[in-house]
Amino acid sequence: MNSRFVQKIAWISVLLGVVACAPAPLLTMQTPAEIDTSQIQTVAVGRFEVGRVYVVRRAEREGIWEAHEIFFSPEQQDAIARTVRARVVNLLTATPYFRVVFTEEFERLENDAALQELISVQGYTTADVDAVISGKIWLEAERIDGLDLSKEDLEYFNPPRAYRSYGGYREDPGLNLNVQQVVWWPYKSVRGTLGLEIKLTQLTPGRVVASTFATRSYAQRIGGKPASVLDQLTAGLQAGPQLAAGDSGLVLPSLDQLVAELSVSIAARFVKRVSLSERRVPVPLAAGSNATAQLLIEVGAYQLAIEQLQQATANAPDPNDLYNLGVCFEALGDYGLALTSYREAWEKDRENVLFAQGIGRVERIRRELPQLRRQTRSREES
Amino acid sequence: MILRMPIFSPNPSVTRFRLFAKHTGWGVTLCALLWGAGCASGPAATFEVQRPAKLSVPREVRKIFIRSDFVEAAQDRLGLKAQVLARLAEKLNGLGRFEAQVVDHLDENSLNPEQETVAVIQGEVVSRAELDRGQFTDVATCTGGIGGRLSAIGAAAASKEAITVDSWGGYICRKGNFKSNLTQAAFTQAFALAGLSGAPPKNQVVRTYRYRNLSFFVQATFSVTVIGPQRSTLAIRTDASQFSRRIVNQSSYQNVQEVHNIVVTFLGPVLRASALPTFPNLIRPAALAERSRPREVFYGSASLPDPGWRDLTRSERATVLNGLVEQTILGFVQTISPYRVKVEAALDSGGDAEARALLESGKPLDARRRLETISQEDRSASNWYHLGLSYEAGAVSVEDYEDARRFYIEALNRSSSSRVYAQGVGRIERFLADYRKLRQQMEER
Repeated sequence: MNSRFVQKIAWISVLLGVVACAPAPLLTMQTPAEIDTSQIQTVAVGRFEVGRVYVVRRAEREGIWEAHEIFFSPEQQDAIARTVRARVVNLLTATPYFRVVFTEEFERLENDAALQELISVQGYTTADVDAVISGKIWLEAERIDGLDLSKEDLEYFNPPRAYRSYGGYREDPGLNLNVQQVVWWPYKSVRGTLGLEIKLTQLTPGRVVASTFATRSYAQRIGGKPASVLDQLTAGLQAGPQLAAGDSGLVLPSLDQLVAELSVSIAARFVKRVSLSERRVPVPLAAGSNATAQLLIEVGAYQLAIEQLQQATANAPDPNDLYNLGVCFEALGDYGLALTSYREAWEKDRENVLFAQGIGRVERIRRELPQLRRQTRSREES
Repeated sequence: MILRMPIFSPNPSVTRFRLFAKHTGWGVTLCALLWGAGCASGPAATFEVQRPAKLSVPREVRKIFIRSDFVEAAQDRLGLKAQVLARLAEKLNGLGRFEAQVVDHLDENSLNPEQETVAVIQGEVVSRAELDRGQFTDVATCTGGIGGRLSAIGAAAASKEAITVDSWGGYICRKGNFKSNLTQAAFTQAFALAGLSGAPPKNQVVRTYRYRNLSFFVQATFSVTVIGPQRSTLAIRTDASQFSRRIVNQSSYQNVQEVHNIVVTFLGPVLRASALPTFPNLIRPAALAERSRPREVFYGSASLPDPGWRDLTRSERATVLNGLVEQTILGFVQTISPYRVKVEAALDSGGDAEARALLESGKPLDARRRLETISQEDRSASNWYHLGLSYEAGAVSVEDYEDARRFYIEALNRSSSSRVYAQGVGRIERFLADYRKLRQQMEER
């Protein structure tokens, strides 16, 4: 450890600080549904049936494991299914693409077979519904109260010292040793896997428009043998989202939390397939001649940035300023002007990857636009 | 158990650790300062702005009936349904867009949809809490000597660590972490400089302690249905919030195995007489920290209990549950009603000090009056910015926001590299974009 090393750490910190604090503007981009669902506007919420709920608590003492399965009544199983369904509906209504309604007729159906049969014979009475969303869940979770066993080095250090003895001083040489001990480390852990099948079934014509089955797992452990410093660092880098506020790293999540979070993860993928979705994309800026405009873009003041960049590029068009002008237009959804600005910038500097990326981004958006417009128009007309 | 070769000299690792602590201490302080300087902002003015609802409810709808009889509560273990519904009604009424009331029953036949369009809220409340008890093990390092004891107590106090006292020399034992170890190294060094002691004696112990983990979960699903000439479900939304806390009883810490005892009781004479390693050790109590093995089984056949008053006082429980209810209904409220949010804007360090103080103390109109007495020619960039902030914080009309934008631009013209001034412009541009949507919703009232 020397001062040069400390200097290096300080410089790395400065760089990290700069990277962490410098905001890249985030632009909202719409992505069309992967499956054409433009004919479906009103979706009724059907039943999410339970395939299996298996929750067990295990405990180990003296090398003997005991397992206690937790019993869930049909009402409790239904509540779990409703929690999952609620998360799917939440995501489905996050953008005003579908109108989602609850209907007693579809909700009362016992399972998917009953739904498919009802649709195939057109035996439903509910009007103004285009499709029904239904699902099935499988849940397995276990909580463990267990013990790790390990050998630990325990340190003992008695420093050398001088002490008075029979009229003179004597030296105690001290003692410095490690003793290995076998230690029990109690731990608690939770592990859960949710399997979720989601189906969107159109009523006329009767067909399954989209169907997905996916599983997600979650595991957390508290207590036990402490990880080594290297393991702690690796775990910190690989850490997933925490499920709860407060002492979430120290407390295991409840089953409700586990189910809620895992279902969101699966449902998000399904909803992206059937519905128009929005995402926030970081867009890098070019180091233009107008630093104020750049600052304005970073904080989302696009109108004023456009005014400043249009003035700056009117007389002496700097390609970086033209590119930044394109970013402003893109952020405000004016893709025609954005593409023009990006092209002008690229004409002046054909080697610049950033400018080419801008063109590519907008061209992709424009390619998706007819599909997006068709999908959004189908909503406006309704 | 294997004993390693005893080293009859002061522990060199102590010296190395001191050097490391010295350099690392400076490095960490430097990094913290740089990070702090990079990201921190100065004092801020806080004010409320109105945001549009995420969903437009038809203008005819003024009355909202929250139907208690249609809110499922079979899984509401904490009995929060009444509280959730009352708070929802209170919140919606407070925002001014709707007149909401909780009703136990509603005879929909008595409504005249041709004359009045109303909305009905129904849904489900789920709540649960559990108490998970257990025992954990840790290894603590005990330090002796005056300096060692004082520095251990200081480090433990600084990082709120539990301490125990070893049974032999009254050494102070604590588990330690990166921060507290650095603190202890700093204390030790300070005491060494004061001539209190050299390298302190050390004795590691295996300890056990008891903990209680509490977790609360509240989830509310609401749908709003408009009953008018046509009946339609407008929004369905589920939100959940959770809270968890670990409570460790400080008096539950116990030293269950101490190295010193092993050394003195079993091996001390051998070690004192010989510098050779001694193995194997067949004395079982010296090899096993037997008392670290828990006797109690915490996951039995019974379900985990609810936290009682010993785990959380009545007032703490009420605070936690109020917070969870508030958080749970927030998403639904913001979906159907325009809502107010607090915005924090950084104050500039320059400019008229009194105006800045007025903004900081939440008196934007007084700050505005004061700043407007300064002639335009004499107004510095900071004063223009604070004037913009006073208009934004005290805005009652869209013109106030437009004026605020104008003043922020004036400030930016005078100091074009200021991120704070640019943020003001960006904030207003976003507000004006929101405003169009908000106006549409408010006109629908």
